[in-house]
Amino acid sequence: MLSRVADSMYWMSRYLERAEHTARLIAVKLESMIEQSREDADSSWWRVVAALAAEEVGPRDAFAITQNLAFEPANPSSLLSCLRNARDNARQVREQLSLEVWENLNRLYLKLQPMTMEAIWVHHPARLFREALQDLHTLGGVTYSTLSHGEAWYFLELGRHIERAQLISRLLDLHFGRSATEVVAEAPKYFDWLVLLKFCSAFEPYCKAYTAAIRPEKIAEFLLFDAEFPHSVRFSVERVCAALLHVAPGAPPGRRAAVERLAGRLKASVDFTQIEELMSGSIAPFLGDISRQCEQIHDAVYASYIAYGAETVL
Amino acid sequence: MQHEAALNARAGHSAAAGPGREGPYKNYVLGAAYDEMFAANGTVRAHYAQLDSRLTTLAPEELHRRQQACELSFLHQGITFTVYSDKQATERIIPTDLLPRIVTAAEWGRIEAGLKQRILALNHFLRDIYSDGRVLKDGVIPRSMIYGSRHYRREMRGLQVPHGAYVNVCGTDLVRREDGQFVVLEDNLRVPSGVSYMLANRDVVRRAFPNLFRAMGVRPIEQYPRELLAALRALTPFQHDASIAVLTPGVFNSAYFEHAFLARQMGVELVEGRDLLVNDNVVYARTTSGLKRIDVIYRRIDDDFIDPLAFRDESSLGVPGLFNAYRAGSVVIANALGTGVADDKAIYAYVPRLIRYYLSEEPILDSVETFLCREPKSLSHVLANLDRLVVKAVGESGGYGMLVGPHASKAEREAFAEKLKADPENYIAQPTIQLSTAPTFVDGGVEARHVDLRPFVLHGEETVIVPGALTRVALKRGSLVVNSSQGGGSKDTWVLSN
Amino acid sequence: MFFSIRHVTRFRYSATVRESVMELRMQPRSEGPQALRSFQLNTNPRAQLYAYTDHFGNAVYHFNVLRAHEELRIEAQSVIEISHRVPLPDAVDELEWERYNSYNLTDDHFDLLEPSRFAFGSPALDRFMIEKGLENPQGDPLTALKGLNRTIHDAFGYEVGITQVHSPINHALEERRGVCQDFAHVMIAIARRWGIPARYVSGYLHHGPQNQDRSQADATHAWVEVYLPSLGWVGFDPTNDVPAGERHIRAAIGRDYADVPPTRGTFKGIAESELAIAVAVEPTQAPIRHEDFLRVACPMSSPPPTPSMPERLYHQQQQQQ
Repeated sequence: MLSRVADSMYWMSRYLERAEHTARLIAVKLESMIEQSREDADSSWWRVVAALAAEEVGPRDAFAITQNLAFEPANPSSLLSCLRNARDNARQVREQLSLEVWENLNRLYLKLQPMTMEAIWVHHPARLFREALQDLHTLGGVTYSTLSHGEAWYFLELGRHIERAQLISRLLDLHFGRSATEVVAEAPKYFDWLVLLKFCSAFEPYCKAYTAAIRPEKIAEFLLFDAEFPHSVRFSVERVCAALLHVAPGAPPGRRAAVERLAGRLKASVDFTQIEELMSGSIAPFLGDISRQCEQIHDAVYASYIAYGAETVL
Repeated sequence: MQHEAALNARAGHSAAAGPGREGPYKNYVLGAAYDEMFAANGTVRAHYAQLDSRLTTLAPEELHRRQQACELSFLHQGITFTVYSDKQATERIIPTDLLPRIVTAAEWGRIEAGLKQRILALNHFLRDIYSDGRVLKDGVIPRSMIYGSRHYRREMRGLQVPHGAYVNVCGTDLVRREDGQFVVLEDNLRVPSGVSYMLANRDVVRRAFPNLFRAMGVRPIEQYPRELLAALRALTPFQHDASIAVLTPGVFNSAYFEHAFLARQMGVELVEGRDLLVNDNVVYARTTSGLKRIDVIYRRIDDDFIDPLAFRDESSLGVPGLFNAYRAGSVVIANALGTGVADDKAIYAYVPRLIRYYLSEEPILDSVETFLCREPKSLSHVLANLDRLVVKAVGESGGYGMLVGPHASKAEREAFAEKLKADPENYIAQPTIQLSTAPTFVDGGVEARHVDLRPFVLHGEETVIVPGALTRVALKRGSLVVNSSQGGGSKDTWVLSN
Repeated sequence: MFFSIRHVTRFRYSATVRESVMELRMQPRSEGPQALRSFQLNTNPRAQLYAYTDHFGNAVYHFNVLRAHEELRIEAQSVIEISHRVPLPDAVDELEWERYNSYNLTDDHFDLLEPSRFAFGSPALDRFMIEKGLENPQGDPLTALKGLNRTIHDAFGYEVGITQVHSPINHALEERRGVCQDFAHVMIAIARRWGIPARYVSGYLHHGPQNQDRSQADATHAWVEVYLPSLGWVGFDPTNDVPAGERHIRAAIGRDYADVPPTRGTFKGIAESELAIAVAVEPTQAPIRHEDFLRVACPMSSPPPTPSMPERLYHQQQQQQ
């Protein structure tokens, strides 16, 4: 397939994954605020903001923060910006997509685009984000069933799961990383662990695997190394490796090797590392390393299949 | 699908009484125009008889239901054009009227022969003016008309094109005069569009009237993409192994869906200028698996924008160095560059002469009588009859620089006369024509609406004309403007096999 | 006599660029008193060169460079032989004007009588013609053209930097200053108004020590050729108020500058380009000069390559991380 088309499919998918993550974080946070003290509720927003790579703007005021994270056009990672970017990419490659995929994406964007905080804040503000999440799930389902699983579809898989691996690593870093553990005031409390699981729609699956006892170490293990849960880093990396087997089928072996080697290395580290090795302080570097390796895989995919210098293939 | 000819109804003819039937035709009005279905005395023409009996038994709600199904089908297939604004991307369909326009086998035979003759002559002409220029030396056409044409590409001189076929895809607009004869209104030799609607209309109308379709023996047209592919393949020695691509200006072009549609139907790649590069005079597409050589480009980008090195350098739609690769013969471009000189409005008037000159034959299809204002006798005739003529500027399109005499005020005509006298070379004039009318669904009934006919001619190693056309219909009563952006729609065209 | 011409063109880019595509019109023509004896073209980075002859009969070379580069250097080296030219008569007879008829003018002359991209009529040109008494040619065509040559030379100051490579003719007309490209365009526009086919010549001028030329010695040069039915094509150099003679070396002809830029190209990338040119025209006995005379010039005879779309798309996408 054309490199430009691969690029658009890849980024469309990354933006949609980011949008889903954003919508879920906001929804869970807004819902959980009800059960927290005012202080706790306000003070733990910083994690959500940091998780979504947004800048802290002004006071830790739920209204303003939600506005920034959800609707702010100047914030390139806001929910709306992500959907806009996804849609822009989609229409560049419209003929690769089915009518259902395009219509769902377009409809979702057009629904959210005119929304304002005032319209949603008074009654059950989380509802809009829950609905968006639902629509994104529908879109995911439609993408799975109405597109042929050819090279184009695998670029969607690649984008989605590289993004997911990075988002989860980042989220874990905010709970287990240096700033989270060394600064006592910011250390996660019991409720925060619960919320973390919900951020990853992991609460029930976690309970199935480990019982309802919330233990940070087990949470880290689940979200990092569980082979079966779709929002674990290990699962995402495995999907990345699988997708890489199906892209650029005609590329010479030497070219593929560069990318597959990097993916394989990452897979090995999430397949074979054990949580016990990390809990004595080395979890932060490990998470940072995962993020870095994901970036390297992204760069390698671009250098090999998308933005390669033409002279290197002639 | 630009159609800038806003030809107007001749004023003064009374709207004759309709066919006088009950039921669906109660608002059907016959005027001075030739009607496809009804003769002047109100009887149904033989080839419309079966459609007539079907219509009189079909309930209006049923018609409405089928019309809606048709629209939904278009949406589902993506046969839409997208109107973009900052906030929205709305998909629109060009309305299709379900009632087919029927052409008899005999009529089609003449159209087909006439179009073949025409494209043969036009290709001879292009080959001639891009080589020896015999037609200029023999004084058949004034030099200044060719050299002064914006679309004449001097770069094409001496360049060989496969089979001497400059025009590979041509959409010729025909209209039926009051006397029932089809005449050529204009040729479209650069990047003609509309064939996707021709195919889509057939699809829905055949499903709306399956029994009728079968009973009437309508000739098939769905082979068009295969024929187009074959024509493109025939242009290169690689034939079946040829690597072919459709070159589109991109998603913001109003005909984009057609580019994507044809690429998909032919099973070839759809590319934009930025996907291609030229290295050592060979054209490649940038794919995830590496660079893929391209042998034939079916281009839907105008000459001006196709290569910033050879032509307009501000263009970011094109491929630098493409023309040099073309010149070197390593890539075939269909349609060839420089064909626009032959669908120039002024050249149009000369086409009958070209047919005689190159083929020693009389034109099978008439052209609309055209006065070239550069000729003094024609100019005086035009000035004396401005109230009855449509005057068009040669270089313009889209309805600019045009005067519709019968519609204009005396002041407008006088102002236009001044423009004519100042720059006569730039204008041509034609009498107004009543396009024929055809039965069209309107508000639950059937009424007469003006239509034209655009068949598509494929010319590679041989000339192939798929037995069908895009019939465009002016949906507003009395309007002769079939342009899709101004209230036009389209119809399926049924060419009968006997 | 023999001349050797060395023409070096160097593009430097502010950032790495890729996929350069370039066309060159530097090979001296071989016709009439001028014969091309040798021609060599080198590029750095190295590239495969291709050539064709355009519809004016100019030799056009082209090449492309895919890989990343920050500089593109083109060196053309040629040797030509100039035979003695028959000098122009002082005048031709007045009947010459009658000879501009359809019998004598052919297809090729058509384009050279019409306005072209850079040489066209305008109110500014009208004003100039009225001011200088040029609305109607005085005397026979040759005399009138000689007078026009001088008038333009006297009316315009020679100054680099007032006009740009894509300047329309009005720019120079308003400033009454410009360079050889502008003077040639003015002369062409007026000659065509008079009904005389006129074409633009791009090439080189040998500046001998005794010559009083205004034009730059180390640059390409532009002048005009006009058609007289009795004499054929005759060259005039309005920049220096001389007829085109044995010092004028013709490289390419066309309707105006747009048809004959010595270099023209595109590249992919986000960068500014800086153009430096060096030209050396010497009788062949003289040694070839070194490159240290290379200086950065205002691009008056070669436009910088135009950046084409591209890279932008990829960069933006990646940054959105």
